[in-house]
Amino acid sequence: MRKIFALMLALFLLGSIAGCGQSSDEQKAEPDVHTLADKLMSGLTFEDSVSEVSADVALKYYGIDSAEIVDCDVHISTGATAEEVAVFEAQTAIDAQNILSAMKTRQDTQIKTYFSYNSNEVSRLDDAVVEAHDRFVLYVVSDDSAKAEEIIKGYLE
Amino acid sequence: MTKDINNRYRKKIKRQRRHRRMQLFESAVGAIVAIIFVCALGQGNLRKNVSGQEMDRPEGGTSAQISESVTEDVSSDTDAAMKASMQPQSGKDMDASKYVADDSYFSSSLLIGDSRAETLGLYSDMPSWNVCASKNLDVESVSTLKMVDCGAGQKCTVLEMLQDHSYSTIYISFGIEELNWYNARYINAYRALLDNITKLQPNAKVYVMSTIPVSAELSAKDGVYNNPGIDRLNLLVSELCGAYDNVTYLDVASAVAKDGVLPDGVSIDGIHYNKEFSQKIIDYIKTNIDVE
Repeated sequence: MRKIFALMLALFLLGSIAGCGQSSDEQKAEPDVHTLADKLMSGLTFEDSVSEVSADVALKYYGIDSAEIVDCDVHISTGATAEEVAVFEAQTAIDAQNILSAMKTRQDTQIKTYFSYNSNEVSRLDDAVVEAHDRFVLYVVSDDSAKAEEIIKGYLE
Repeated sequence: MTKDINNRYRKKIKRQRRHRRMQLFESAVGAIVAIIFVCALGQGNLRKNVSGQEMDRPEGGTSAQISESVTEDVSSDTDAAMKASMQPQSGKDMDASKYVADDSYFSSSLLIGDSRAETLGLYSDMPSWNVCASKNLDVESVSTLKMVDCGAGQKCTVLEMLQDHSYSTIYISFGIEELNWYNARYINAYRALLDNITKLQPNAKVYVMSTIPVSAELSAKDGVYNNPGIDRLNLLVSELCGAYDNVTYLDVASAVAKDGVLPDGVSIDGIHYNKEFSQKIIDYIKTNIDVE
């Protein structure tokens, strides 16, 4: 009886391990700025060539303190358009608010600049996604902010 | 009788052995179960580390990124450090004074310019390069526009900034925003800019970059943004540079253009070029540095 019980217990545990084991694809990972940026870059359509900018260069350009950042992934257009994708993971919620403020300043500056430089971009900038989700800050200038929102919410929530 | 006793004894021994074997078996099963259970717990509790990049603290403002590490005085030590940051090209028969500059060379270098220069700085992947560039900036407004963070929330002009920061090299890139100017206005403004820069930075080598052409398609249809106009301005500027000891006309346009125009496929508007093309310009700059 005890033998049978021990064998059944072993088989049960083996079976539960096999059933509970998940592939790395199925396992829910922590949100990652690079994965989200990749989803935005592949899910949205851009008119201009939008290329990756190194993190150090981007933070310096935006005037963001690197001590506030865990990681970031930034893609900026050639200047022919204002299209841009920037995803930040802040250290804390307060840092996220500082970064959000910096990106809202970025949006305002771009609107003023493109008003005289290329006024077609102003509506794109007005409609940009500039928001924070917990410690994640997003700045997305594209033709389809609704789709950008959908991608962001689908990944972060 | 004895036989019965022996048989009972043998059976007893067999039962004992069987009992011991079962105990061993149960212990082994229990151990295996425990190991599997611990492994399962460990698998469930392991988390992926999301590692961030190591990042340096940003050194400057938003549209003008100035390194605070640039020293006040540019001495011969700085020149020595600049030379040390370069490596001679191997396997090439070239002027011995020209070296390949590595990224550290750009930490004491400043780029001043328009929208194309702004994007060049962004696509350079060199955070140490100091950049004062912006859309709409031209060779006149660069002296008056307060675009550089001076600290305490204040903005100052590029020339005001140059009073407090020293650079080994200064790259200047204009020419697109000024295509509809008269020649005299352009040259007078450029001359005033170079006079100011060479006075404020007497030890710096100044490189005036030729204006990159626009695409053939744009040049053919646009009355302002066309390559004959660009060629005209480039000729004027190349002649102007000859009047200065420390100013060199850097003809990057001839090196990266294809048949005198911006190559196909690098720009959607015929003016602003992508990262891949920007990298060609950076490579040209890095391999055309006059050390002496």
